[in-house]
Amino acid sequence: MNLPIVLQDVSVRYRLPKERVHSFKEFIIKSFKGHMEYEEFWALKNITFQVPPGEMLGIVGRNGAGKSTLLKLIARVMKPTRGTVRVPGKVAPMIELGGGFDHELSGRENVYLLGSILGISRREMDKKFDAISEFTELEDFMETPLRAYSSGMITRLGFAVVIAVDPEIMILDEVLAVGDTAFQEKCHAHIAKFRQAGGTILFVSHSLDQILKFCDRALWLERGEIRSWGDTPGVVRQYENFLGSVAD
Amino acid sequence: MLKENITELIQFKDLLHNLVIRDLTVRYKRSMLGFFWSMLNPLLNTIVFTIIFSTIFRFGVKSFIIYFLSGYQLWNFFAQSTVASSHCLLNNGPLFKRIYIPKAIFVISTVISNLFNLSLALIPLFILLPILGKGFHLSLLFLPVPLLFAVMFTVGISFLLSATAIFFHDIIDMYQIFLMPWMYLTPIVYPLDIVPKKFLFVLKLNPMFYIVECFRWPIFMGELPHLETCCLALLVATVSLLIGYLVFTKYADTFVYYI
Ligand SMILES: Nc1ncnc2c1ncn2[C@@H]1O[C@H](COP(=O)(O)OP(=O)(O)OP(=O)(O)O)[C@@H](O)[C@H]1O
Ligand SMILES: [Mg+2]
Repeated sequence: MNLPIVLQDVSVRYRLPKERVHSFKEFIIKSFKGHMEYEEFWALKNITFQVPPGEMLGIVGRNGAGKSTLLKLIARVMKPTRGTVRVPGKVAPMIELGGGFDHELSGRENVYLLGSILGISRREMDKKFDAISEFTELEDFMETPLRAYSSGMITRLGFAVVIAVDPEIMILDEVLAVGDTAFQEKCHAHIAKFRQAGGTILFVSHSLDQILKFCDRALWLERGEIRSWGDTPGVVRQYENFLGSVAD
Repeated sequence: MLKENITELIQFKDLLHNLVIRDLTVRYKRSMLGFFWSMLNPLLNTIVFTIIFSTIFRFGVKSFIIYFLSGYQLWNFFAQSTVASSHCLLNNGPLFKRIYIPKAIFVISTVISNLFNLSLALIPLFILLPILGKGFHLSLLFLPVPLLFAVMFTVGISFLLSATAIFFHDIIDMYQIFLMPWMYLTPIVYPLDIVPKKFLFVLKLNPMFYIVECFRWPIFMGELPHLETCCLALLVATVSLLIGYLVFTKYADTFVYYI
């Protein structure tokens, strides 16, 4: 796999009825009156960039800047309102992790469930299960329902399943912040191994230290627009200056 | 387009399997009662309806039970599948908002697990059949055909409802209110011959009428349903499936924008 990820002039528009009515009755009434008011919100505006294979791109920006939305485009979860997104290769998304789980089911059942969501068949999962449960260090909890897990434990489980997919592209949306230090170390080691094997990573984090430590390049989003894109230290410095000026 | 969607569903067959298992475990595993309930509940209903209606309509009690159960269980399959489907996309929003999943899979898994419930719910009916003197006829072998019609019709309506509910949440409640009169406009608790001739056309505008008739006839009458009824059942099932599918696929890519 040696084609880059390409986003060409991509825009995303959320369209909300004013005050988010979500009601058929209102819709009919308003349609008759002839004014259905929508609030248009461009979460991303004319985004163009590329990620060469094997590179790790860090994405920074304030809350609501559009980082998760950008990752959703790359994970095929969303299609852009305008523009094109080309993602060659198998993607393993970790967007606001924990969403793929069912809290009534046991750890084991959830591993199979999330696995099947990510395209791992039962048979494959039978082979991978022991490695996954070992990676999480949660062997004793595999038969416990997930509602009895702590949030850090859930993150571990999710991370372990996602890396078992053997993806070519990994998407990490603020996942490394949750685990304890020992588990973080383990994840970092895995990421290093993944990159040596030529994997591509998109990494969103509010920890600028982590961005500086891992990423080849960085991208700064502000209100849906690219403010800066290039070598990591430069982008991070600009972003820090900006944060400083906002705080004043 | 259709071909792509089907290959995609095959690709995700393990997920489909898991979703069905999840539905069923939530329903049955947590209590053995859940398992018996799915058989007991219709039986209790049958007793109540039998007491009320078999006297009003001068139906023999034995006949009434078979007549009622064969229609009611199929209706329940339809009603429960469509109601569950109407919120299945909203419930699974947190999931497909993070990971790509073909959305149709949620609707299809809902219908499949309800199909499983139906097969459990039919057990009491088939046990009662010889006891109440109806016996087994070869015509029962025809049942998969009306069952297929029922599934097609149900999937179509489920597609339509689940997609609409993303944009208008109140459709879910409106639909449930609407189901009640709809059931009474389908001959389930009353025999067709008590309906005055001039109102018969109202029933005939109801698509579920043909599907229920098609399903009940082989059980209750012990013979194949009329060809005309079958054709009309096939027609309404196909139209429902087609419209549901087209609407669903047209909007499927935008669901995630509204979750
Ligand atoms: N489903 C939705 N409907 C309407 N607006 C949305 C939806 N999802 C996101 N938005 C809006 O789009 C903008 C970008 O959201 P996004 O989740 O991409 O931000 P983010 O950069 O990931 O923020 P954070 O750092 O807090 O995670 C936000 O203003 C948010 O309100
Ligand atoms: Mg985010």
